[in-house]
Amino acid sequence: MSDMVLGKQSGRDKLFRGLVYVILGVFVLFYLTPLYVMVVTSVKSLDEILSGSLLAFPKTLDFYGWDEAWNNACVGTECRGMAPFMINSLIAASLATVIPTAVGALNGYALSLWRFKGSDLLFGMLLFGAFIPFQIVLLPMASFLGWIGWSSSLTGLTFTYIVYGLPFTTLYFRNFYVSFPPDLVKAARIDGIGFFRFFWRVALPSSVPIMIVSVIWQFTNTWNDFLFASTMTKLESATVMVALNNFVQVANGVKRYNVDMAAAIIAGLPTIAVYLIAGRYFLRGLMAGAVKG
Amino acid sequence: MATLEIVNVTKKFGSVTVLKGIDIVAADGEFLVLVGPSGCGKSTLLSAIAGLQSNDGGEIRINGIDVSEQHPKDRDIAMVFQTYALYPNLSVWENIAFPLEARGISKAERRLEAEKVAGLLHLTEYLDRKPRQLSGGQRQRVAMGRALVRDPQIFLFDEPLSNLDAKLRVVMRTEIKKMHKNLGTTMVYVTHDQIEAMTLATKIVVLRDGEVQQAGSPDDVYHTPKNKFVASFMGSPSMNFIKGILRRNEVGARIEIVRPGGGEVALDLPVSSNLARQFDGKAVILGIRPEAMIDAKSETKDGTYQRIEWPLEILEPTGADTIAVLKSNMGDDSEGEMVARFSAKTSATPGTLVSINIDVSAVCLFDAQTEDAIFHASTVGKSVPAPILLSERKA
Ligand SMILES: Nc1ncnc2c1ncn2[C@@H]1O[C@H](COP(=O)(O)OP(=O)(O)OP(=O)(O)O)[C@@H](O)[C@H]1O
Ligand SMILES: [Mg+2]
Repeated sequence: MSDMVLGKQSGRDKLFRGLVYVILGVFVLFYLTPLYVMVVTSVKSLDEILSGSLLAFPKTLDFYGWDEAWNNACVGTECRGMAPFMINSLIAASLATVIPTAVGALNGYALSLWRFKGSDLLFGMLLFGAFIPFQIVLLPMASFLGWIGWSSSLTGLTFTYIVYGLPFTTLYFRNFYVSFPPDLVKAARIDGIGFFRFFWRVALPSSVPIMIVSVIWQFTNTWNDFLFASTMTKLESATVMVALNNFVQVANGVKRYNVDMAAAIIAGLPTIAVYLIAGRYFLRGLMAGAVKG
Repeated sequence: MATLEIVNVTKKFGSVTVLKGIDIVAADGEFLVLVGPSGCGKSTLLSAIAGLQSNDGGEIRINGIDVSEQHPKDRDIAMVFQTYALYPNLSVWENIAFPLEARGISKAERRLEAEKVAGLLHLTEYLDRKPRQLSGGQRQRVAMGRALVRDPQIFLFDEPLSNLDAKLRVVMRTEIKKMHKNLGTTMVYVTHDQIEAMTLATKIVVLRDGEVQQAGSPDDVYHTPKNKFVASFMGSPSMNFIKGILRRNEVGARIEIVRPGGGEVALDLPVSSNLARQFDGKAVILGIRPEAMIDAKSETKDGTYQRIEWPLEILEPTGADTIAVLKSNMGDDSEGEMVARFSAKTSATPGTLVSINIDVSAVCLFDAQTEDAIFHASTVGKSVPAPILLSERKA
């Protein structure tokens, strides 16, 4: 076999490659098996689950689990299904994606291309924000939210997500713009093109890859968050992750694995969707941002 | 239309002084070319003129008014960058018209202006492409277009052609020259290329380590360099240097030269008696351009040539003529090579002594200590008082 880039391969190369593929294959199996189990379990009847093997393919397709999960899942005593919680999550995660990405882009742009006195210090402090473990800020944040009247509400939770997303998105955009050719900014300054016009017309349109990274990062992190969501919301403002935990733990008699699995898949679908749509930009963006900084 | 004065401008980066008090004057319509080795501060000086950085001292005057405190956009200067600095996501016409956008000119009008400029630069068919879909030369023209569309008082160019191949460079050089002729706008142009400097400039400024070495017309700088640095920097291949001792004599002075590999030769130089007295017995460096060193068989019409025998290292035929690489007596430093222009049909043998005619009406002398020029034969008048002297002594 001859490769355009690598040239002719020796026997050792081939062996080595084969080995790499085997290892990769094992990892793929390792990661996909749980998903497979979830999917097949969700479409089995409860009888079949209890009698058959975990890995077996369903004998008959039974969508009872999906129906129950979506329409009748209970949190506490209320059985309204998953939809309200999905909507809560969607609101929180969308706002916590759009706002930090937009503000982070502007921040990163200012901190890299239009530096000012003290901008590096400011950036350093923002970075600090990215590396504080969330557990440390949990209590102060909760009491702060109580103080401004946003405790146990979706507003408070969304606010928290936005604030803690900013250091990360700023970091991403800043590191992306740092490798932007400085001459472009100089040319703009000579030609009288201002800060915002340059941002809007040149910088932002050129930063699609890192925008995707920021979107995926913020959306998956906030959608999947359990720590903040479980401490800062109450029943009606719960996100789907908190609700999912409650569905599963409501133990009245037999555990309905098919319902649990279906609920878990539904809860994970939006992040999968985001990955599928934006994922191919993800690595590219990470690389672009990682070169310099 | 503007005059540009740079008055005692200094600039430091941390503890390093990059510009050490630069004084340059460009008249209205001047084509000022800045040359100098890499890192000497050319780009820094352009940034200072454009206002992209604040200076630590001195003034930048445009039409007599100090603009040092003005924002770049208020100076009415356009700049073409070495990297072209095109906005990658904008199309060619948007790139060209972007400066107009900031002035609040309508889209239709901007498009019209861009089309006008594109016509001048042969870019009409590329107006809707993105910069990455263009060749290097086309990108360069877009960058020029963006400067042209503004119709500024002063153009700044930072090595605009250095990323192009040799052929395109020649074409674009001519274009720029035409552009300057048509517009008559004052231009400041940085280049590494000798020929660009010589052909474009109305005034050349040679910089070294943040200091002006010489400013003058291309002719001045080429024929009457102020010091050895300017002499070696301007011209390609660069000037040859030979060290020797000056001795007073009846025609002015004679320079006695110890040949590499043994032997001594001498040349008579029409220097003034004052200078001869001053440097009698002192070490000097003789500067001779390659075109003033030719093989003995070449025609030497006027009586300004003197013949010496000198060791030849190799011959490099170029077609039209032959470059003769001669041994140098300057030691092992960077000037350790001498180049003469021999005729294409030369019969000289490398590794032996060859006869060379030297045009002493075109040589320069430098003080070996300070390296300042002390004598330019070209300023003396065309003929040398003494006839050809075969002045050679075998050691
Ligand atoms: N922002 C900066 N910070 C520190 N030093 C700098 C900075 N910009 C330039 N310098 C230094 O100043 C000196 C002059 O740089 P400049 O870019 O003006 O050189 P140049 O003459 O344009 O060189 P070249 O021909 O290579 O473009 C260099 O030694 C460079 O390292
Ligand atoms: Mg430079």
